[in-house]
Amino acid sequence: MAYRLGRRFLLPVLTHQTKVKERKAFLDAFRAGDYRILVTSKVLNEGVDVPEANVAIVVSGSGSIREHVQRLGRVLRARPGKRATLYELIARDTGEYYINERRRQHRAYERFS
Amino acid sequence: MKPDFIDPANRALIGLAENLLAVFRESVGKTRSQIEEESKVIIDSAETSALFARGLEKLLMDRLEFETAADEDLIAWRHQLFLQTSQLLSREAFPTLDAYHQALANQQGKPIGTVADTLFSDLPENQRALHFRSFSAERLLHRYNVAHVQWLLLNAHALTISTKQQDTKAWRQFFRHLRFHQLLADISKNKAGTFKITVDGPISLFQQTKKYGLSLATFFPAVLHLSEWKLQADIHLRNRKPKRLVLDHTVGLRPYSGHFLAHIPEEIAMFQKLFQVQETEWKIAPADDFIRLPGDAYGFADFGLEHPSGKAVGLECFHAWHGGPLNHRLKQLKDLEEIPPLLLGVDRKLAKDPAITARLEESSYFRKWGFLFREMPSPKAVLKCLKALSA
Repeated sequence: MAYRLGRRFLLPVLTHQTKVKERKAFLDAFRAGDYRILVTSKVLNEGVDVPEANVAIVVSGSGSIREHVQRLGRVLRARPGKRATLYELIARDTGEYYINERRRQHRAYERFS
Repeated sequence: MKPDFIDPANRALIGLAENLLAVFRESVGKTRSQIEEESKVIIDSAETSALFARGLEKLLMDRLEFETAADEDLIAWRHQLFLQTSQLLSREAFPTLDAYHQALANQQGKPIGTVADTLFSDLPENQRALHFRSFSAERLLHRYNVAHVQWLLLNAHALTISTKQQDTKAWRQFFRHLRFHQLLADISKNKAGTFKITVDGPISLFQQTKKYGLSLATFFPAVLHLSEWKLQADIHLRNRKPKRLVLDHTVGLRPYSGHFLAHIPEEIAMFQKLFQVQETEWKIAPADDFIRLPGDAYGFADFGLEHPSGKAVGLECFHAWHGGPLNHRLKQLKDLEEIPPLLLGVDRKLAKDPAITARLEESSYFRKWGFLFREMPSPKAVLKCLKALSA
């Protein structure tokens, strides 16, 4: 999915298949503002110094609420005065609707909605 | 524990193997994803279990060589493209995706389809096959059975091989392969002439077990070249009780490659080459004979070194999980300082163990005929010992 998006929109994609040197180059470029958008899979979940973003678009998120909230926290990095936007794409008439509903019960959504 | 081997003479299985082989024999020049699509058609229509069919496919994939070299030009071009897309998207709000694509195509000077096709052409699924090592359907099925045993050996913590093998080329090659895979063995012989080879495991279960298991698994095909053998291994699968695997030459496992015994790992060949560049008198080669040690014991070194004067010595390397055998060898050699049969190389990772450090410091044999190394010995360290030997 990540590479399909990268191909369609001609955007950098960061997954477990991205070589270490290029991974560092992508993250540095995103951090510096040279890349405005980065497409990624679960590889940024842990162990990586994730550059801060102010928009996150979840195309197909994790079913685990904890994992989902953790990932968002790393990407959006709440701080006073910051406005960040989260978009979740849900396919109509699929189980994704219920996964999304379940996720929205987490207190993180109450604090920042 | 009894592995569930397949019957390599089964006509239905041979048919499936032949159909898959036909795909792979025509695979040179195709991408990995194209090959997988073609073999999927065979797998989906097979009467056997899909798991078994995918196992055969995996074994055939392993015999393909793909172009994998990092294309630095592609990486640089990709970076420039992403800078362009970032700038475009910052400058303009495109009304449609087509408008964005058109703007980018104009900048690149080529159709957007070409740009998209090139963008991730270095992903594994887009790599092209360069060469396929073919073999027969029957050999593929034998390979499957061997792979089954190799998977179990990945989780082995101890291994014993008993054999009455006579002094032949395959026997020597068997021991060479033990050394090539950084395995050490305690070798003894009983009155009936049966050799018992106990392949050592890590000192503790937490030390290098994965690498040890992988070494055992990659070494195992060498056992199949012996005419008579029996193997016992303690297998520790995750979340299951340890079990004993017992196999012998009557279970029907066959070697699947005639080239296995002739293969010399790259790092061994490289070390030999580097050594010979620096040294013109002493000749080095992978060891091809036993060394008799005190107390009716035998050793088989990694390398044999010979001098035109007739002097000869073995070089034995002890890697990270060889603590037990190193202790044993130091005891065996303690009275042989004057005419050393072996030079001893010890991996620095192993030497970090305080108990090993103490043993090495106590050992006058090691002080005179040993050295430390990282990953592989350096010719310089070996030459220092040889100079003392030549004196």
